[in-house]
Amino acid sequence: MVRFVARRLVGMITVLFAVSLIVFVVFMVLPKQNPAQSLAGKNATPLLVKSIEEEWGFDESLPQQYLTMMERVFTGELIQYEPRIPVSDRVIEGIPATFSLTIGAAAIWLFFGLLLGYLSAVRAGGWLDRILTGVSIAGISIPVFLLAPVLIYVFANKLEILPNGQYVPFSEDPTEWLKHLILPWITLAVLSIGFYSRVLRSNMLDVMNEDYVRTARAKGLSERQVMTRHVLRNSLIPVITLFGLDFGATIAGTAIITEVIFSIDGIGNYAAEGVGKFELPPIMGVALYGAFFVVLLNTIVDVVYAYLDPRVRLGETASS
Amino acid sequence: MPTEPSAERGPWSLALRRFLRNRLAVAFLGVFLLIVVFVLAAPLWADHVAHTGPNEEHTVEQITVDGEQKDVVTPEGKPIGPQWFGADGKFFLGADSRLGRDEMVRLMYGGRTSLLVGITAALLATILAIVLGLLAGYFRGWVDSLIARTLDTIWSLPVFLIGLSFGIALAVGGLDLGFVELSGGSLWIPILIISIFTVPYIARPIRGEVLALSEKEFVEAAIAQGASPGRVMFTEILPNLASTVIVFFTLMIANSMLFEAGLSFLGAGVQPPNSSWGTMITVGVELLRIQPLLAILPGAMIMLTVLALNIVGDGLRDALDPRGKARMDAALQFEAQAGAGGGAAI
Repeated sequence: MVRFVARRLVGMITVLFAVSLIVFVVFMVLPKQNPAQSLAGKNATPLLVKSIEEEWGFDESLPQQYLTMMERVFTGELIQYEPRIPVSDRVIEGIPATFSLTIGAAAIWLFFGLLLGYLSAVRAGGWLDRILTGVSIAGISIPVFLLAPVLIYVFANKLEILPNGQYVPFSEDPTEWLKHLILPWITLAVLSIGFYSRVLRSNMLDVMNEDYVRTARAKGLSERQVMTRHVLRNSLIPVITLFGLDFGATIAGTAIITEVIFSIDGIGNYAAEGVGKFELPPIMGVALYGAFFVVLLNTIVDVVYAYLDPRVRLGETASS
Repeated sequence: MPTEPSAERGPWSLALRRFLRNRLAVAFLGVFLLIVVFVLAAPLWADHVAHTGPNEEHTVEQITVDGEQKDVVTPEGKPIGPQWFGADGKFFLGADSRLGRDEMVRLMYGGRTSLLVGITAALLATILAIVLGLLAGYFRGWVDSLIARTLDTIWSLPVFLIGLSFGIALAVGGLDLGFVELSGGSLWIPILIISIFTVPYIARPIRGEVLALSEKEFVEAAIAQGASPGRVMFTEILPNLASTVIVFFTLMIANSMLFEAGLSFLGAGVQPPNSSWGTMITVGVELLRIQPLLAILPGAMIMLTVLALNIVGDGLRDALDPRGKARMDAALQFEAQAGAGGGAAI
């Protein structure tokens, strides 16, 4: 186990280094434009550009520039210049909204994904299975940038039963918090509900053919006991790994789009504002902090997975 | 019609027969071809029906609908709704925003960009993946380690977030690679970003297959006859990868189009004056309350195209490789990632 964790940590550090290097090259080396000009923004004065050039040491060697960038990013000295605010402050401000959105959506997709998948596997081949399969395929096919406008139009503009987004902090008004998040949660969850139910269904159908399931039936367990204790439990492990990875990917992906459409003041919306104004510091900050968070999360998931399923870490040692 | 013994038919014609028997896949292939015709007809519609271009503004113009004068954009800034053939095909789907551009013309031209970026990016990623997969699977050793590690690293990146920052950094500053310079608005920027970040989805299964194929007797025989590594890779192994490549290429187009739409929606993909279905949604969302179609139409076009490609891809997979369960699983996993276009990639 120790060896496995050590290997994963080395892997994680490699990826983090790769991410920071990629960001450095893309923001500082590849563009034709002077990077100080890009950081300062479109309407920057030459004086500001000059001072950024000195602060970031753009006349020094590339490795030195890389170190300066990393130091500034992780000591809160990455600053957006119009208005002048440290990027880390804005990212921290956005955390409650982003996590309310993503954790809530994740709870919904996990619950409904597993429920639908279980029902469809238990009734495999029946009419319920066919309907649920149709529903999940439809869910997988709807991109967020179609689902969100449709939901807003139907539930907020036409029926006027739910607000069209915005974010109300939980501490201010829990009911409003919930009401404002229902549509964004659905938007973010629908795709994964469809996908998780299909994955669980196919895992369960595989497990049902295992010898130990036949043994469980042979020793006289009820069908429900066989399904929940033996089939479901053994089908869940891959789903849980998938969940860990998807959660990170959602934060760094569809959650950004959802935040923008529903005007939720989260981290993703902050980055998107930067994109709209061609302002680089927020995007650079969110990309680095976000990538570090996601990579860290993935490593934790891997380690937990190895802990739950010894075959993973043993297989790893055997192949190495 | 008398059925001929299958032994006389090649594997490709058998696969074609199997594909044609799959009605759903054939129907959606038809849908995809219709979409292609739709976007290719853009200049015809623009010149002969709408009499306007995708970026021509009609802010203070009036059109005659059934003998009645109507503002294209009202003084309050509300664009005109769908006119169908009321104005002889002008503003068939209405105007796009307070700029008064023809939505139908923009939908057709935007689709060109979306498909162009999606297909080119998928093509580049596929070519790159074939080369990397062949090198890694054939030479093994350190070449394989290096390529596999690089692919794993890209795989574990939050690609949408990194792609987003690439898109905007390059859109602001342009790209200077020394031998080639691209301006910030070039379509090549989103194409390159998408293809680089989606290479692992196709390179990993190809590498696996090359590893398996290079153990086969016909490869050993070729080597024993003195064939060079290049010859073995490209004339012995490559033809055997054809069915995998075809299936994954189809799915990759869908994935790339979702990636492009996500980037463009946020402003980090296709840059003005070009527009794509993704950028059209950005414009449409602002007018959701008064003209919901403006956001929903381009979104629905993306969904229809992606759905069609995925179903055709599934059909091709079943037709080309009816018993290849391992490969089917790999493709399913791929869809999981691609769904992130939907779920994980974006």
